[in-house]
Amino acid sequence: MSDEGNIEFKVAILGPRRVGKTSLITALLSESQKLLAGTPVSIASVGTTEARIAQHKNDLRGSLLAGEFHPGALGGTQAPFTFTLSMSVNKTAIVWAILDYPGGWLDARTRGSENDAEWERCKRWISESPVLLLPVDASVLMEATLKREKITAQHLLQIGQTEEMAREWAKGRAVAKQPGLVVIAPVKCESYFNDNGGLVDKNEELYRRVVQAYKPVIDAVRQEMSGTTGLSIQYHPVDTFGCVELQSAEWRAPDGSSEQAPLLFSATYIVRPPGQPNPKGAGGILVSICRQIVEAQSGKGRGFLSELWAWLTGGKRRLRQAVEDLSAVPLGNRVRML
Amino acid sequence: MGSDHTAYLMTAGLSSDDYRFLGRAPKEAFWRRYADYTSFERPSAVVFCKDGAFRAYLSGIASARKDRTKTPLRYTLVMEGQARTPAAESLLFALAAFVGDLVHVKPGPLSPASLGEALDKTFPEEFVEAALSHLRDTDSKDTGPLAEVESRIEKAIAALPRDTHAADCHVRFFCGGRASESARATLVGYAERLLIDGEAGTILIVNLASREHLELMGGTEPSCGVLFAGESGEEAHSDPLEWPPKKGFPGSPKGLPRAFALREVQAEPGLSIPHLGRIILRALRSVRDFFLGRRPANS
Ligand SMILES: Nc1nc2c(ncn2[C@@H]2O[C@H](COP(=O)(O)OP(=O)(O)OP(=O)(O)O)[C@@H](O)[C@H]2O)c(=O)[nH]1
Ligand SMILES: [Mg+2]
Repeated sequence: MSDEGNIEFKVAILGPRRVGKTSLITALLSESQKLLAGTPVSIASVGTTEARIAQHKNDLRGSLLAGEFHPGALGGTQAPFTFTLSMSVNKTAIVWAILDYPGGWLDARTRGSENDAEWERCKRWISESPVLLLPVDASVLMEATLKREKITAQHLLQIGQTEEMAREWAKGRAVAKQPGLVVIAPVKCESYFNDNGGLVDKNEELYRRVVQAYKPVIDAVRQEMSGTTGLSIQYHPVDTFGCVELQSAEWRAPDGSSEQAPLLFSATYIVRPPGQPNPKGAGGILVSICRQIVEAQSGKGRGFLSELWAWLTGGKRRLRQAVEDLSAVPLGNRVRML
Repeated sequence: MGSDHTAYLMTAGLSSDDYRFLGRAPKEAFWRRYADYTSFERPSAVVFCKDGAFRAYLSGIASARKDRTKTPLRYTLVMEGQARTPAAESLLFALAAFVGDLVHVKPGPLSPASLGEALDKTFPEEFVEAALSHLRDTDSKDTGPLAEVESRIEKAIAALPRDTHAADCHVRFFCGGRASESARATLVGYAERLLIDGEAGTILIVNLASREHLELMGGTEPSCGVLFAGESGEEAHSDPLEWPPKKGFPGSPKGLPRAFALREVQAEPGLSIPHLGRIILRALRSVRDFFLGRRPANS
């Protein structure tokens, strides 16, 4: 906590490369801004976050050119970056800080030894965060039908590594007797909902597949935190773009590979007219985080969240009111409690 | 290449978009400290020269190669060695090409320019694929195709056009927008001083930070040249400006007098009266603080 009237709230994200971490963070920040428009809360990105978001938007615009979606225009993240957004009333602020990093770093083989030290810092960040976001590539899960495709999907989503890291996180929470929020956020799911411009509704199927694939992760967290109160695991499907539609998905064996080798997955998307990004579902994550903070008031007075609540209560009434108002925003039909 | 200097190249290939150094990797990610000020995915440079040695990092160099999902790939080039050697000259050419290529950088996806094209010639797809698969299959970092990486980097740089556009730069601190031709030329002139004359200093080419971050980025450097901006409208002020080294120490010990820098920028349109006013005000405050024995205002 800082004496300047600001408090930093760390949010961690955990996901392999190309899953959609950076896009999810960007959607979360811009939807949060929308959510708070017209309230006494001022919301502003801190430092170079705004420039970074602008770059992402430009890349996105570039990938939506001419009615086609070229996902490739968004290259992967090369170095960790902390996105920061301050939510303030009267000079007191909660500063949301979300650490983004290259997903390839989850796997030591693709991390590169020069990044080991920095990865340690990322891991520390994750362990200190009361909120763990797990983006899930919905298309990988939904377009897998054959057995080999399903195995590849597990592989692409790095369920094993995710489980291991989530377990570490939960262990840390349990030891410190701190509550925790796990948000499983399927992205790339525009084609499975009919509430944001799509025509087909496959949301039940998506839910079933996500819960099935992430069962080891969910179980690990529950197990580690079984003696701790205040664990919430939630399901928040997000359209980070909201204006594209899956056209076709292809699973292909790499040239000259064996029967067992993982397949290569690629999906093509078309742009839904008028081609304006229309993210949906990410704002609910902020609402859930605020609920977590509000619920901490009934806790036993330990840990970051209850300290935060105490801080909000001592003279920061208007900011506290803002958090309470946010926590009361309805979560919508997509969200489920696991 | 000999043992006193090294070049490393990072890129990705067809089957994966994981960026790896082909072969050995630099021991320390010395560029990392600027991660808040630049997106390394887009053109960025960090060059340190100290005690006659240099370390350079150039990233966001677009390649014409793409991965299987049609994602355009890019290179990151890292070079280490001694100033005032052929290796330093080689870096200067690479840096000059990199700086010249900035003129083509637009918001949104990158497209290959001179340095990327030169690297593409000596790192064709078959070679990169072979190197990456060798890297996956063996523990050795310098056998098979990996043994050729450095010489291929040298070859690529040797093939770059030698008509570098450098302007004399006499100041110890300077910054400018990358869209300004004179700022780019001044930066190359500054790089000459570091690499060819062996002066100590730092070069930063960043794409997130703006003027307000200069103090944070380079305030503690003995000498520093910065090109910034791009995506968020910074091109609007693309005039090289002297940058006060340290608050509280106007025209600091061995620095050239401030007037030099101001004379230089007068050649550029766009140095607004308010801006000049701010500089003068800041200098006056610094002098006052210095005499009052105060710490710099923002620390
Ligand atoms: N259709 C669709 N594509 C998405 C969505 N979110 C992300 N993508 C695409 O998925 C790819 C990966 O997105 P990123 O956000 O860069 O993924 P990342 O997890 O940050 O990847 P790394 O930085 O490599 O770790 C990009 O090509 C995006 O365009 C989504 O909601 N819908
Ligand atoms: Mg990313």
